[in-house]
Amino acid sequence: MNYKKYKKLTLIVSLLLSNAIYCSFLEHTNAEIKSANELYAQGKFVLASEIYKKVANDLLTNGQYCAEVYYNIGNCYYRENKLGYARYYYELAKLISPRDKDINFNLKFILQTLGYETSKNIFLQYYDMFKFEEINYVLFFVNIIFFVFLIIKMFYNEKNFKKISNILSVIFFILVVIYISKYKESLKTYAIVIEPTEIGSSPDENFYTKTSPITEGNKVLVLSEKENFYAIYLPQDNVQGWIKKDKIKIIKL
Amino acid sequence: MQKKFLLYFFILLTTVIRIYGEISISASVDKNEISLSDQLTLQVTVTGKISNLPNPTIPTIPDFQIYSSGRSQNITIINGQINSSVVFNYILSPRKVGEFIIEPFSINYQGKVYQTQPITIKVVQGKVKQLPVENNVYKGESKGLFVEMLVDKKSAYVNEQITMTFRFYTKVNLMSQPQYTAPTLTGFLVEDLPPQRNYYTTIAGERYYVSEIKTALFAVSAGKLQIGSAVVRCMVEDFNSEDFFSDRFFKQFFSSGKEVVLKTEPININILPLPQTSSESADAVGEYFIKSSVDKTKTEVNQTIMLNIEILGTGNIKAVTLPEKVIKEVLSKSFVVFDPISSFDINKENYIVKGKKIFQIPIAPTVQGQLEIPSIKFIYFDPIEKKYKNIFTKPILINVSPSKETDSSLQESYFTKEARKEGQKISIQDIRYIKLSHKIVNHTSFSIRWFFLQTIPLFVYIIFLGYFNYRKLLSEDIRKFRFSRAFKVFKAQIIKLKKMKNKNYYDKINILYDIFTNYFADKLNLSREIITAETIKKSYDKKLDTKTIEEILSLWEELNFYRFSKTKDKVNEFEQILGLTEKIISKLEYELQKI
Repeated sequence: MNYKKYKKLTLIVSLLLSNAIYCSFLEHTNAEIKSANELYAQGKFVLASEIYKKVANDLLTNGQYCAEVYYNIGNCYYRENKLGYARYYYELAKLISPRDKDINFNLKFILQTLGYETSKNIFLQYYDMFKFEEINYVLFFVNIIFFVFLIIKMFYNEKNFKKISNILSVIFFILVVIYISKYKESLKTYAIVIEPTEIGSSPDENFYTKTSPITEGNKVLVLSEKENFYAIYLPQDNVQGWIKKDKIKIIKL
Repeated sequence: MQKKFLLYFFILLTTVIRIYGEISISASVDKNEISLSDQLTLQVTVTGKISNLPNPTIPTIPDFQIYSSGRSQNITIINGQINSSVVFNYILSPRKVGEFIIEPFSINYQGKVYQTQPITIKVVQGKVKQLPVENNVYKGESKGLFVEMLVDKKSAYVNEQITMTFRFYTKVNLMSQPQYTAPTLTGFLVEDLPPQRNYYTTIAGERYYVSEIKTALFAVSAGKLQIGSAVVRCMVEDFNSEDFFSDRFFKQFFSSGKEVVLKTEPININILPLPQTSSESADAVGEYFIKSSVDKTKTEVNQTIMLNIEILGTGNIKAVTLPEKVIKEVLSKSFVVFDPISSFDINKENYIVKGKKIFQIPIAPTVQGQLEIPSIKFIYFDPIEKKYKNIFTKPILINVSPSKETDSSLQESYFTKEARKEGQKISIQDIRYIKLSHKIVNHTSFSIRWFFLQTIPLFVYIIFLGYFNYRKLLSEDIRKFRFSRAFKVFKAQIIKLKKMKNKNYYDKINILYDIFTNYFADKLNLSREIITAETIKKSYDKKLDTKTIEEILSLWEELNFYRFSKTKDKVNEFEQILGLTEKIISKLEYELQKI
C-alpha cells in the first residue's frame, strides 16, 4: 500500500518537476533570443548569431525548432556579408515556415544579390508554399472524402453526383501528383555552398583536379559522400563533381 | 523510502537551479582613501552563465555625488556554454570629509537576491599620499630598467597615420612577467601593429633587452590631443637592503623582490584639419587607387548585377567611405541602386596600415539598350603632398535586353502600387529586419505508416466495389442468382417456420412442403408449380449420388403423405420431418458445391 502510494507520488512530482524544467527551459530560451535581438540591434552580429545558433541547437535537442531563429541567423550572416551562410539559414527557416513572407522576401533578396534567377511560374510558387507533411495531411483528408463519395455513388447514382465526382477526381489526381513529387523531392539532399570553392574531379586529395569554380550561395544536389567529399550536381549548369565537405552545408534540420 | 524520495527531489531541484541560476555580483573601488577634491572609480561586476544579465540596483549613497560612466559587456561562448560579464562603472565624488560606507549593490534574479560586500571609503582634507611611482627617462637606470614612448610625428592631419612606439628596456632579471597598460588614447582610432619586437641594444656601454610595441593612431578630429602615460609594472630583485644576506650569492636564493612601476610621459599631438575647399571633401586620407568591375556585362531589365568598387592604398582603410550620394546620382537615371555591402582586407607590413576595401553595390537596370556605368570619382587627401587628389574608375558598358517577364515580381517589389501611379521610385534598401517574436514548434518527421494509411480508403473502396459488382452480376443472371440464393432462402424460411407457434400441424407441414419445393424451383430455375419428383430425379441424375437422390425423393413422398395423413403424435412427426428436411437439403447443398 505504502509502495503504491509513493510510486504515485513520485510520478506526480516527476511530472510537475519535468513541467517546471520545461517552463524554465522555455523562459531561458526566450531570454536568450531577447538578448540576441538586443545584440543584433547593437550591431554585434557575430555574437547575436552565436546565441541564436545555441538556441536553435538547444531546441533541436529538445525535439523542437523555431523558424524565426533561423531567419534571424540568416540576417546576422547577411550583415557579416556571408551570403552563403545567410542563404543556408534562410533555406532552413523556409523548411519550417514556407509561407512566411519575411523569409521569402529575404531569401529572394539574397538570391538577387547573388545574381540568381528568382522568378517562378505561379504553379511552382504555390508548390513551394507547402511542406510535404502538409500535403500528406490534405491528401489523406481528400482521399477519405473522395472514396467515401465513390462508395455512396455506387448505391445512389444521382445526376449531381457525377459533377461532384469529377471535381473530386481532378483534385485527388493533382494532389497525388504533388504528393509523389514532394515525396521524391524529400528524398533528395540539397546543400548550400558557404564559401567560394572549386568542384573537383575525384574524391581523392592526391588526384583532386579542380574543374570549375563555384560561387558561395549556390544550391547543389548532393548525390553521395566519400570521406571528406560530397559528390554534387548543379542542375542549372549540368555539372557534376566532388566538393569538400567543409565548403557546403546540407539543408536539413 | 520517504527519505530517498526527498533526496531525489532535492537533487533534481538543485540541478535546475544550477543550470539556470549561476550568477554573481562583486564591487570594487580603485582607492579606499581620497581627498575631498578627488574622485574614485567604482566598478560593479555581474557575471553569470546567461547572456542577459540583469542591471544592479544602486543603493542610496548620500555622501557622494554618483555618475555613471558607462558599462562594458563581455560574452564568451565556449562549447555552447555562455559566460557573460557586465562591468558597470561609476564615478564617485565625495561631498564631505569622513569615513563612509557604500551599501551593497544588489540584483534580483529569478526571485533570488545577490549582493556585493559593503565598501568603506575614507575622505580626507588636502592631498592623499600617493604611492611612489618610478619615472622613466633613465631614472631607473641604476635599477637597470626604463621605458620610453615615441611618436613618428607630433603634428598630423585628421585621419593620417601616427605611429606610436613604446619600448621597455631592461638589463636585470625580472621576477615576473611585466604588465603593460596602454595609454589613454582619447580622440584616436587605434590599430595594433603586430608583431611585438624583442631585441638587444647597447646604451651608454650597457646592453639592454628591449621589448617594443607599435600602434597606429588615426585622429578623429582636429585640435590638440594627448597620448596618455603608458605604464609597466614588474617585479625586480631588491638590491637595496644592507644586511648579511645582501651578498649577491644569497640574493639568488632569498631575494623577495619588489614591484617597480614605470610610467612614460604624456605626449601632446597637434592634429591639423584637412584644408577647406569650396568644392571638395575627402572620402579618405592617405594614398589610394580605385578600380571597378561588374559581375556580368549582359543582363535583362530589372535583373540585378553587382558593381564592385575596389579602393586600394595606404591609410586608414577601415574608415574609407564611398561617395554613395554621387554614385546614386550618377546611376539613378538608368539603374535602381541598392545599398552597398563592404568588406576590407588590411595589411600592416612595415608597420604601415594599408590594404583594400571592396564595395559591392547591387544595381538593376530599369531601361533596355547599351547602358554605361559612368566613371565614378573618389577624392582623397594626400598628407605628404598636402593636397586633395581625384581618382576615377573606368566607365563600363552593359548590354541590357528587355525583361522576359512583363510584370516581374522584382519590378513589383521596386514600386508600390501607389508610388507607381505617381511615377515615384521606391528603392529596396535592405533585407527585412529580424523577427522579434517567435513561435517554437515540435519537430514532426514523416512516418512510413502514412503510406499505408493513405491506401486504406482505396482498399475499402475496392471491397465495396467487389461486393457491388457481385450483386450486379447476380441480378443480371437470374438463373445463377436463384441458384445461389436458394439455400440462403431455405434456411431463412426454416427459421421463420420454427418460430411459428400459432400455426397448426397441417399448416406447418404445408409451409414446409412449400419451402422444400421452392428450394428446388430456385435451384433448377423452374416455376414451383412444375416441380415434381420426376423433375428432380431427371435434373440431378448422374450429377449427384444415387443415395442422395433417393433420399430426396423419399422425403418428397413423406411430405406429401403427411400433408394428408391423420396421425396422433403430430408434434413429434413434424419435428422429425423438419429435421430430416434440413439434413437432406444441407447434404444436397454440400454435394452441389462439390460439383
